[in-house]
Formats: sequence, structure tokens, C-alpha cells
Amino acid sequence: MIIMNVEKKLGDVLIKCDFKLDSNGITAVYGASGAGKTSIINMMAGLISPDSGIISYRDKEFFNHEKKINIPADKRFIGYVFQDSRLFPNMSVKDNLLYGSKRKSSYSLSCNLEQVCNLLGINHLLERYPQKLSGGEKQRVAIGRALLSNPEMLLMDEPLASLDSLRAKELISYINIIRNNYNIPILYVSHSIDEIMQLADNAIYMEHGALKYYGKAVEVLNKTSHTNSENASFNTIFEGVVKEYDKQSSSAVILFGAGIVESACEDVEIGKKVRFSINVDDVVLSIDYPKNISIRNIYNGVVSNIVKNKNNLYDIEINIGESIWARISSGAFKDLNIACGKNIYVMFKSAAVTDSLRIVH
Amino acid sequence: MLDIFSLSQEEISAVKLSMIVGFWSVFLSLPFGVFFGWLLARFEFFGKSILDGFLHLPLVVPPVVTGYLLLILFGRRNGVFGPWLYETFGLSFAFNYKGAALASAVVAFPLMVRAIRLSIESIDQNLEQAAKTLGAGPFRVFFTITLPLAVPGIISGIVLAFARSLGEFGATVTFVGNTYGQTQTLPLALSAVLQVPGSELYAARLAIISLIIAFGSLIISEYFARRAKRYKAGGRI
Repeated sequence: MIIMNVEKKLGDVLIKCDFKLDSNGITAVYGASGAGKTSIINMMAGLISPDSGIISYRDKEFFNHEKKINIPADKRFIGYVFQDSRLFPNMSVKDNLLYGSKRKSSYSLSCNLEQVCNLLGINHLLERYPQKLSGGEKQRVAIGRALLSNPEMLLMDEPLASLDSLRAKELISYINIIRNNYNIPILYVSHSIDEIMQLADNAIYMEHGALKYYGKAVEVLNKTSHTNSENASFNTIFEGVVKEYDKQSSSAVILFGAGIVESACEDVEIGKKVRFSINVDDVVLSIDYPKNISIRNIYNGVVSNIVKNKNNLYDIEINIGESIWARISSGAFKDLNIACGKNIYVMFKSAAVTDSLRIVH
Repeated sequence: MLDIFSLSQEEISAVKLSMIVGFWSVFLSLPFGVFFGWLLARFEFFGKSILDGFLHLPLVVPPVVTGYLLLILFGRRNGVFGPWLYETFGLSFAFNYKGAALASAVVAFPLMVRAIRLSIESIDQNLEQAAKTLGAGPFRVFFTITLPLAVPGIISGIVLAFARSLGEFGATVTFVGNTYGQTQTLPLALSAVLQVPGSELYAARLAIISLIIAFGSLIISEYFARRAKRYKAGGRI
């Protein structure tokens, strides 16, 4: 159980954070730049001290303002992967990896060099120096170094930020491997919804220094997507499981809260967890059941929320077993006579699912 | 006819003494130089600018004044610490190379601290933070990250201090005098030679020797600085 209930004034921003986390797996800390994401994990790591409050993990209090406890960073057993990898330039990759490997605690991971190198694919880099590594390699070594320091918890501060999209994709799969192989909580700072879709089990949403939402990643993403959109289009995110997969036609049938959805998809196993997002502009509404239509994903639902936005468009939330948002013009809104509680059919094309489909660990 | 390639007894003694004095002044002031360089680079504390100013004093005060202050502090009979040092450790600075080394060290100290401080300031503190999260306490962080990365600055500090102590004259002559074989380093020997009429050739030779030593140490320092830069950029020395 991670408990964090702290306040810290940083310049003009008051960082205020109160959460309890009792799950392993990846918890995304997300929000706009300057929302206090990095400050939160720096306080967790002990790199900055809160003004007041408590931070504790398992039975250990890292920080307690009243009891005047503030365990220094080097005694917290927290691995930290920085945005800019921060490998020591005066040491070889191997020496970097082993820098923190001497410490041990009762709950900490115990990894060995060979195992970590195999997992991260960095065996061939051991004798090199950090300057001779590519961005992706540096980050993998940084992750390996954090793991080999036998941490009880892992913090990652936008580890993909400095990588191109190809390297980022590669590293995501490595982070998933870490998640599945080691049973420790990972706090993962990011502002990329795409990364969070692929990695996070839970999410913390920060706004202006304060924790706004905390919960299952998909729920938190959906809670914030509409309010954050500021009239721009936004997505509804769904989580599902692959029910059928036909390798020949590369098409998958995915079971999710509203029923099933079909999607083209390469190389996925039955039973895999997937996430996809549907853009408000890709959703079509109909009062009657549409017949003779090419769209295969049709769901029946009830209007639960109507928001008129500044561009005179209407954002409609419909409960189809799960909530989905659609955006329609004011003309369509009037013609369809939409009101809360109205029964309605919701459609979207499979192509929209295919484009956004992400396999989660 | 003077043989220009065979050095006289006095000249050999002056060269030797200069090297010994330079070595000891750098060797003994190095730990303090690293400490104060680190202190000034990494910490904010009350009185920091006063300490900084005090450490820089020998750079701006006339060397003769420095020598005079050293006499007041370390004079064996009447100095503040002199009699105590002599009685407790049998240490005396009067009219020997130890005094010359002390005078050189004091005068060269600001140069050394400055070079080391600048190089520590240029080290990314984020690396030290990263080391902390890997379980390294302050000592380990200092000796495995800060110090190795400061090597280029430390080398240039050493060379600057060594070169300055080779050229040191005023403080030394005031503090420990100009005694052949004891405190007569190259500049002091040169000054003594110049007092004697008709010894221009000796003087020229001493000047050339000084030039060669100074130039040689610059080349050696350049060599080490390059290797150190490579080391900092990843690679072994």
C-alpha cells in the first residue's frame, strides 16, 4: 500500500496530492505540463521534500511532517528512470547497471545482471560507454540500472519523451515485459494518452498541482477526456478482450462492455486484453435500427448526458453498456429530437477501432 | 668560457628546489582545494561570499603582504601558531623549503580552488540525484560521480597552482628569505644572480630554464586535460 498525502508549494503552484494505492502494476500519473506530475514522484523518491503530510509504503514511513521523519532518497529503495536516462558518463554500461546492485531489503526485487540484460536486450552493450548508445538503448540501460538496484517500487518520468515513435514503441514492449516479470508497483509519469492506453492499469490525473481523479486507467482517461477537450474532438476509450481471431483475414472479434466489436488486427492471441478509442466525430446516431448499412458495429443505448459546446455542436453521452460520446450538429440534434433518457442507436466503423487498437500487456 | 650545457651547482639546486617546493605546495593544498571547490560549487550557506572573498585574497593582495601575514601567523618565535607547531610537531617553516612550499601554496590556492569549483559546477547535478536513487550515500556519490567527473578541472587546478608556485617570489622572500639550498627557488636564484655584476649569462640561463619548465608543464597539462576530457566523454584514461 502506497499512501501519499502531501502539500508542497513550488513557485506559484501548490502541489496537493492525496491517494492510496494498493496495487502492483503500472499506475500512470498524467496531466498537462506543469500539473505537478514529476513533483509527485520526486517527493516519492525523496528528491524533494513536501512541506507537510505523509508518504508511506508498506510498513515504512518515508516522510511524516509531524513526526519529523524524512528518509533520504538513498535509503528508500525506490528505482527511478529519468526522462533523460542520466547514465554516468564515466562508467561503462556494465558499471552503470551494477551501480546500485549491492543494496538489499526484505521486500526488494532481486534481479541479476544476466536476467535483466536478457529481458531488455542489452547484452551486447555491456562494455560500451553511454555516449556511444542511441536514445532507446540509453533508456533501456537506465531501466535495467533501476531494476538492478533492487527497488521496492519503480518510478518512471516520461521515459519515452526523448525517443522517436519507433523506439518509443519498442520501449513500451520492454516496459510491459518488466511489468509482467516483476511484482512491484510502477508509477509512470506521462502526458501521452496513447502510452497510458498501452501501459497503465490505474491512473492518477493531476491538474494545476492537485490530484483530480484516481482509478482504473480507462475510467480516469474517459473522465478527463471530455473536460480537457475544450471543444476539440476527443475520444472515448474502451477496454476489451480478444474473443476470436482469424489469422487468415487478420480480423479479431473483441468483447467489451457494450457487446462485441470487429476489428482488423495483426498477430494477437485470444484472451489478450486490448484497448481502443472511438473519436466523437466517428460516431453516428440513429433513432431507428439502421437496415441495409455497411457499418457492422451497431449498439442500442440511452442518452445520459448532453453538453452544448461553444461551436454550437452537441456532445452526447450515450450509455450502451458503457458510456460513449458522440458529437453532432445542432441541426441533427433538433431533427433527432435528442433528450436525456431517449433510446438511440450508436454506430461506428471498424476502421476507427483498427486505427486505435492497442494490445495491453 | 661558460659551458652553456653544464649547469652550475647553484642552478641545479634552484631547479630541484623549485620542483620540490612546487610538488609539496600542490600536493598538500589539493585536498583543501577539492574541499573548498566542492563546498563553493554545491552549497549555499551563510557567509559564503565572505569565505569566497577570503580564499581569493592572495590573488589580489601584494605577495609581500601575504608573506608578512605568514610571518605573523607562522613565525617560529613570535608567530601566532609558529611556536605551538614547533613544540608539538617539531615543524618549523623558517628559512627552509617547507616555508617556501607554504608560501607558494597560499599564493596559488585561489587558482586551484577556482578551477576545481568551476569544473564541479559544470557537472550535471542530476547525475548525483540519479546516484542517490540507486542507494548511494553522500560519500559514495562524491567519490564515484562528482570527483571522477571533476578530474579535468582538478588537473587544470593542479597545473595552474604548480605554475604559480614556480613563479612565486614576493611571499616566499618575505616569509623565508633567500637562502641558497633552502629557499632559493628559480625566481629567487635569478634575483640573486642579477645582484652580481657581470652575471648576465647566468641570469639568461636561469630564465631559459624557467621558461622550459613552465612550457613543459603546460604541455603535460594539456596532454592530461585531453585524456581527461575523453574520460569524461566516456572512455578510459
